[in-house]
Amino acid sequence: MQAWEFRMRYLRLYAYFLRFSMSRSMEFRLDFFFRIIMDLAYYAVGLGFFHILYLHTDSLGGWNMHQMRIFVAGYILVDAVHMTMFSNNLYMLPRFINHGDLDYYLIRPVSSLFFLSLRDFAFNSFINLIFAGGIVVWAVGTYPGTLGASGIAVFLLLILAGALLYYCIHLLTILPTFWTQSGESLHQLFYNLSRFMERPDRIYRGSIRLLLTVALPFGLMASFPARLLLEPFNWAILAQLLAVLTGFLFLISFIWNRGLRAYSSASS
Amino acid sequence: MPLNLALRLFALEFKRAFAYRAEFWIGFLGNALSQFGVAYCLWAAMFAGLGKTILQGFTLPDMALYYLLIPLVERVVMGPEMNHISSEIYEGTLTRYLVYPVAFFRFKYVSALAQSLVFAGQMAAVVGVFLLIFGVPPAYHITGSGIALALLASAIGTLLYFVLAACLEMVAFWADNVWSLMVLNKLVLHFLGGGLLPLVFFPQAMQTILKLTPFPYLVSFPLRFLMGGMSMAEMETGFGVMAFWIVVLSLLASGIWRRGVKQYAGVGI
Amino acid sequence: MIEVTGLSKTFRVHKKEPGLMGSVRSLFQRQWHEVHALKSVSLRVEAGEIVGLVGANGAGKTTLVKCLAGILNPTAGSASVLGSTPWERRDGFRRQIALIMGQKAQLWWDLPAADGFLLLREIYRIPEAEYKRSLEELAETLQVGDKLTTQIRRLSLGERMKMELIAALLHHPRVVFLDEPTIGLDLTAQRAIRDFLLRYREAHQPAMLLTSHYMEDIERLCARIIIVREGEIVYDGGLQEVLSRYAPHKQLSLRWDPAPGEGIRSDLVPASLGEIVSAELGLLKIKVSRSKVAEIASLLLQRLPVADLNIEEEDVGTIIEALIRKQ
Repeated sequence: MQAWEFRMRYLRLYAYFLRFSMSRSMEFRLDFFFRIIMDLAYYAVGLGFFHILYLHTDSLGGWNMHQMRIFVAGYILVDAVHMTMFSNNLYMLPRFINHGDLDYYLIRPVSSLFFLSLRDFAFNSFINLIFAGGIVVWAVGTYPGTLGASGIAVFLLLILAGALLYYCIHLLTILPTFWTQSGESLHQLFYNLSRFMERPDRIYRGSIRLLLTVALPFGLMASFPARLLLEPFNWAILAQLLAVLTGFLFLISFIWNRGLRAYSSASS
Repeated sequence: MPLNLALRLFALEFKRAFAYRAEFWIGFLGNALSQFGVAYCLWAAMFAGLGKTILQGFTLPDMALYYLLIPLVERVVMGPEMNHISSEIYEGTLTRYLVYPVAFFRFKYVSALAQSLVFAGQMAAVVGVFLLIFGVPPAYHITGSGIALALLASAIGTLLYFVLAACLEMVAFWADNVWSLMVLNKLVLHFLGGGLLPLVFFPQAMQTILKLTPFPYLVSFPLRFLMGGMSMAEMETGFGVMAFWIVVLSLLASGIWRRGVKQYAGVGI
Repeated sequence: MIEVTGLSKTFRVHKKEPGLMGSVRSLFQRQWHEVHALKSVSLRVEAGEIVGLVGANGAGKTTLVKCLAGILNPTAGSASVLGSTPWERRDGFRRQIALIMGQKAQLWWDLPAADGFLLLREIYRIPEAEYKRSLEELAETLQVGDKLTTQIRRLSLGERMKMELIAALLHHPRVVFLDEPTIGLDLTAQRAIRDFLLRYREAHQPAMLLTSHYMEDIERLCARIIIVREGEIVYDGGLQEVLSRYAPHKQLSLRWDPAPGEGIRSDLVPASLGEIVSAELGLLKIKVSRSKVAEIASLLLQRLPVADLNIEEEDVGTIIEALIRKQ
C-alpha cells in the first residue's frame, strides 16, 4: 500500500514536470522547429545508411533489410525517448553541480536524482518521439513475416529498458563532475560512443563484443530487443539485457549518493 | 587584413588549443576512434558475410584507412568551433566588430583557419602512426603531389565550410538558438559527403547529383587525391564546383549579413 | 529546536600550481591546504526565536546555515534540528524545515509563482485545505495576491523575494533558515520583508536563523545575535547586551553660551567624571560610564549654564561591525 502511494506521488510530481515543460515550450521559438528537423534528419540518415548498404548485400549481422529496418526503428526510439525525457536534464546537470545549485534539491523531501533527471520534459523531442513511433509502425507494417502483438509489446518494453540503460550511461559520463568540476570531455565521449548503438550487435566480435554488451552496453540497447522480436526466443539475451540494466541502475544510484556526499563535503 | 593581425590571431588560437590539452585530445580521439571502430566492425562483418576481399574497389585495409582519414579531414575542414558567430550575436558582442577597422568575416575566417591548422597537425600525427604500424593499404598511392593537392583541397574546403556555416549561424539574427541547425548541417554533410559510406556505394544517379553539391568537397574529396584513379577532368570539375559554391554562398552570406545587421542595430543593443 | 555542539567544518582546498608541469605534478601529488570554516561551534535556538547570525564574508555564517539545513556534512561535532541530524537528510526532517537564500532562486524562472507553489504542495504533501489557507494568508500579508499568475521573470526583485518566501513557508516549517533574504532589495522591499517576518513569527512561532549584511535587518528582527568571526562564535547573547558589554560608555555633549572673557575651565569638570573627548569654549564632550549618566549629567547641569544637553548612545551597528572586524 505504501509503495503504491509512493509511486502515485512520484507520478503526480512527474505530471507537474510535464505541465511546466509544456507551458514553457508554448512560447514560440524557432529553435523548437530546428530541433525537430535535426532529429528527423538523424532518423533519415540512419535509414538511408542501411538502405544504401543493402544495395550491396542481402544480409548483415544476421538480418535482412526488413529486419534491419525494425532494428533501426528501435534505436531511433531509444534515442527519442532519451531525448524527450532525460537529455536536457543531463545536459544541465554539470552546471547545477558546479554552481552549487543542488542546494534546493537536497533540502526537499523527494529523491534529488528523480527531480534532476526528469524535471524538464522536451516537447520538441516528444514530437520526434511520435515520428519515431511512426517509423516503428512503418517498419513493422512493411515486414513480410508475421510479428505477434505480444512480441511487439515486449519489444517496445525492452526498448524502454534500452533507453533507461542509455540514460544510465549518459549519467555515468556526467557524474565525475562531482569530483572533477569539469566533465565536458567525458560528456562528449558519450555522444561519440553512442554510435555503437546504431549498428547490430553481431558485427562486434571478441573483446570488443564483451566491452559493448557488458561494460559499455551500447551494443545491446536496441539490438537485443530487436533480436528477441525477430529471432527465436533466447533467454540468455533477455537475461543479459535485464542484468546489465539492473547493474547499471545500482551503479548510478551508488555513485549518485557518493557524489552527493562529495558535494556536501566540498566548498561552501 | 594586415599580416601582423593575422599572425596574432594564429598565435591566439594555438594558445587556446593548447590550454585545454586533455579535452582537446579526448574530444579528438574519442570522435575519430569511435567512428573508426564502428566502421571497421561493420565492414569486417560485410566482407566476411559476402566472402569477398574487394567491394567497389575497397579492401578491408583500404576501408580502415578511409574511415580513419574521414574524421581527420572533417576535423580540419569543419572542426573550427561551432557557434562562434551566433554566440557573438546573442551576447551582443558583435557590436565591437562593427567598430573594429577590420572586416568581420575575414577576422573570423582567419581564426577558423588557425584552428584548422592545429587540427591538421594532429591529423599528421595520427596518420603517421597508422602508416608506421600498418603500412600503406593497396588502394592508396600516396605521392608528394597527392599530399599537396589533398592539403590544397582541404584548405579550400575550410573556406567553403566557413561560408556555408556562416549563412546558417547568421540565422541567429532571427532565431534564439541555432546550435541544432549546426548539428543538422554536420549530420547531413557527413552522410552526403561520404562520411558514413564512401560515395562509390551510393546509387549512380545520386553520385552524379552529389558531385554538383558542396557536400563531398567537405568530407571525402581531399581523400581522393591520396587514392588512385582521380582523373584530370574529375579534379577540374571538383575545384570548379567548389569555387562556384564559395561564390554563391559568399553572396548569400553577405546578403544575410546586411539584413541581419540592420535588424540587429534596430534592436538597439 | 536547534542544538549544536562542537560543530566544525574543514574544507580541503586543492592548491593548483600554474603551468603544464604544475598540472602534471598535481595529478600525482596534490597540494592541499585546509580552510577551517567552522571551529567547534555550539549554540541553541528555541521555537519562536529569530537569531541573527552576523559576521564578515567568509566568517562561516553560510557554512553553518548549510550544515544545519543538511546540505553540508560537518567534519566534527553534532547537531540536532527538530530531533534529527540534519545531514542524514531524513524525509521527516526535510519536511519540517525551510531554507531561503537571497542569492539563489528556487522557483522556476519562466513560470508563474502559482505553478511552483503547486509543485511544492505535492513535494511537501500539503493537504488541499491547508495549502489554500496558508497561500492566502502568506500572499495577503506580503501583498502579492495579484502577482501569483505572473511569470517570475516579469516580477520585480522585491516581488520575486516575496514569492521565494511564500514558497519556503507554504508547508509551515518549524525551523527556517534565511541566508541574506534582503540582499539587493530596495529599502521599501527590505522593510516589507522584515515586517512580514515579524508577523510570521508572531503567528507561527518557528525557530529562525537569519544571516544578513544589513545591520538594519538584524536590529529590527533579532532580539538575540550570534557573532561569528573566522569560524568561531565570539558573541552569543541579546542584541542590547552588546551595548553594555562592548560599549560601557555613553557620550554627553553640553553646549552653553560662554560669558565674555571666559576661558576653558577644566576645573569645573574633574577628570574623575569620565574621559573628556573634546573641550572647547562653549562645547564639552565627555564619555561617562553607562551607569552614572544621570548622576553626572545633573551635576554638570548645576555647574554650567547649559543651553543644550545631549546623551549619545554608540550605535549598535557600529559596535557589531567593529566586533566583526576584530577591533
